[in-house]
Amino acid sequence: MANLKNRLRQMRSEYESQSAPDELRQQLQALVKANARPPKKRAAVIWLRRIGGSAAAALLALCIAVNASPDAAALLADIPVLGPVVRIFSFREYEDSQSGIELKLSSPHVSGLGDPEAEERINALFDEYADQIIAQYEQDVAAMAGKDEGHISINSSYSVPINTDRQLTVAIDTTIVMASAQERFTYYNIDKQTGDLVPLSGLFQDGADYIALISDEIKRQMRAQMEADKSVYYWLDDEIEDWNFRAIDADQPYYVNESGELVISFDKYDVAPGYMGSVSFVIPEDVVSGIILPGGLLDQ
Amino acid sequence: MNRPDITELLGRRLTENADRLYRLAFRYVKNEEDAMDIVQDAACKVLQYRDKIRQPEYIDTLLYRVTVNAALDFLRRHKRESVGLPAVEGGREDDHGDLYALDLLDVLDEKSRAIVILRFFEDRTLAEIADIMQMNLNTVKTRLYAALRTLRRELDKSGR
Repeated sequence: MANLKNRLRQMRSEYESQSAPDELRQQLQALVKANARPPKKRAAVIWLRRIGGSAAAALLALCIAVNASPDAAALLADIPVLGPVVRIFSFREYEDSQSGIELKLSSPHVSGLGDPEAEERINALFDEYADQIIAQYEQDVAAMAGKDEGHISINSSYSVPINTDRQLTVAIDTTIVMASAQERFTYYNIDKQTGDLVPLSGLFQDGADYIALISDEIKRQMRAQMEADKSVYYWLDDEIEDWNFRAIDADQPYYVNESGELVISFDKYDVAPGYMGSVSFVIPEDVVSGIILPGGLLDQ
Repeated sequence: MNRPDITELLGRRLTENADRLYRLAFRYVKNEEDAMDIVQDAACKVLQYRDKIRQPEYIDTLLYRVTVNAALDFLRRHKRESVGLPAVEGGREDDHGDLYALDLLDVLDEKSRAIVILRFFEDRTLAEIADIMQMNLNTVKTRLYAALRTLRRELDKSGR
């Protein structure tokens, strides 16, 4: 016992007495230098991840501050009419720039759904998202004050990719530019018949294993794409296993395209290296046809 | 926190940890040139996939992990090349004394060797080792205890 302990101690000092040749240090430095690229790309992702955290405390104050504008009436007069009844309009505009960080935000509200409660619920979601972004912005400005300028530009706007009789999808596009851009899409899929936001699970029958079906299909498409085009790479069979795509989230961002097909989207870096950007996969109807919720958004 | 660029951060950690990674690699190949190659391979891999690093606080564990993987890869390639040749072993007899105390580790299999090094020479926790070796905690424990038994047996043998 003591024997082994002594021996381990002896081995440790022997082990620690060995150092890397200077040549290796130089090689490593050269390697890092060769891999250097426009800085701060990754930092944008960290920023985005922080937005994910809750920022509810800042909610009310900001809401009043940004919207108590005398131009509100003028703004409301300009509402674009998108569907026969339902309107999407810019409810909050926020523009600010401090300490080298710039934020431009335009956040929507929806009206004319015919169900005031549902409208309120959905609009609260939009507001909450905007609040998170603004709160994070203010926090970053505070953190950056007096230090080097940040050179960050954040732009959050919305669009309405789908507005049919039945369905309304509002996409919020948040782009953060720090030398290079990071983009995140958030989709809000609204069933006009019920006025409800429909999560991915809401497209399928209760208890159906949509996660496995869709994940397998995505993996199949990833493999096929990689096979067909050597420049395409997904983290799928990578040797660093915890980076590999295994399954979609239960509430993975999605939308239903004009042909009624399900489109699953992933943020940049989620399932592929940064050069692949944000990626999305169209799930053919026959893959999920067995589990579609009758009368749901996919059953049209 | 200021948002440090990941490449810069990796660069710093690689240089800071150069000794540690080199020693670890050296234990497997026992020569300078190959050990340097292994560390470089590992560095390339980390740099290549740096976009996927979500928690910078785990960079050190990650560096160990890719280095162990690169070393095992190297050995695998090397073994394939030298198929049919008898393993070079038993070059040191008792009466020569042990040239290097560390060579005792050679009685262990490759993975257990890394576990012992990380635990006793690098002071890593079992949980960290589990992460580095991509094993579950119990496997690490079992292997570590088995390795210690083997080492003790070996010491007793040579002590006699």
